[in-house]
Amino acid sequence: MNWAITTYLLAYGILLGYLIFLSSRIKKLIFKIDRAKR
Amino acid sequence: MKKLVSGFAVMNLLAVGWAVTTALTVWLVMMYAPVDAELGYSQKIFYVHIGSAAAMMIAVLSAFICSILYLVRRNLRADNYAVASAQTAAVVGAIVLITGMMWAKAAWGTFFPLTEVKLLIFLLLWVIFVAYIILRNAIEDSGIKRAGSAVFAVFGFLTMPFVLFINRWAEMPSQLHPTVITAHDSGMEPRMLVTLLCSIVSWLLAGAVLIIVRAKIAEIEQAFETLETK
Repeated sequence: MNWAITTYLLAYGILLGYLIFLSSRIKKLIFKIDRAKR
Repeated sequence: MKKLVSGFAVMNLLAVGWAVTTALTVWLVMMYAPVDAELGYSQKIFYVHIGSAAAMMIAVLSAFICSILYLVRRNLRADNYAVASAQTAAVVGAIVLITGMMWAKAAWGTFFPLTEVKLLIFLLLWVIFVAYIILRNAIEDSGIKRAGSAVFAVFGFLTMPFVLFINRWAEMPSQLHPTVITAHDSGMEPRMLVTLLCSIVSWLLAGAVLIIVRAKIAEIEQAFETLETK
């Protein structure tokens, strides 16, 4: 049971990590767009 | 710029579908799918492993198609989607590797049996896409960078049929990796099959959303670069 849960946590953890990485890039872009508008 | 920022309707729909199917998959895995008599709970790793593998295959296929499109038409949009697909393939591929290794430890007692040809070819496929990302960041000349990485993605795709079918094409002694689904029979209990199908759908949606988001980011960054050089 623990082994399966660890695996699921790892798999979805990697996915979440990548989503956080992408959202940080989106944040930077939003900042850039705001600056360009001004 | 406005045109780039808009047009997220399809992606939003896919993202909602992804969230719903992921929640459903987790519920099915925990509550609905039966516990395997031989492997016990460790068998449930199989659902996330196959699902993520399906997403990786789609990402590799998408990288191949977009790279060919770029090489033929020099279309920058195709290049953006090729990069997005390659990056998604590398990330999802890491999940396939880790879940596969965890399953292997439970089923075969070792994380990575080096006698398994299928696993070694998969590792090669994953390394090709990791190398793609490194190559992409290492070359400065944008023309060479795009064409070089497109050729790389095509080579990556060529290894995919071997990953999928090597155990069926070549009769090799003592290969452990199971071939669960064949053309005629899934060989699975119906409840397991439903869970697996739901997991595959959720991972395919995840792959599609990640590719679109990453490609949109690349497009907007590119638009900024063009503006800055002007």
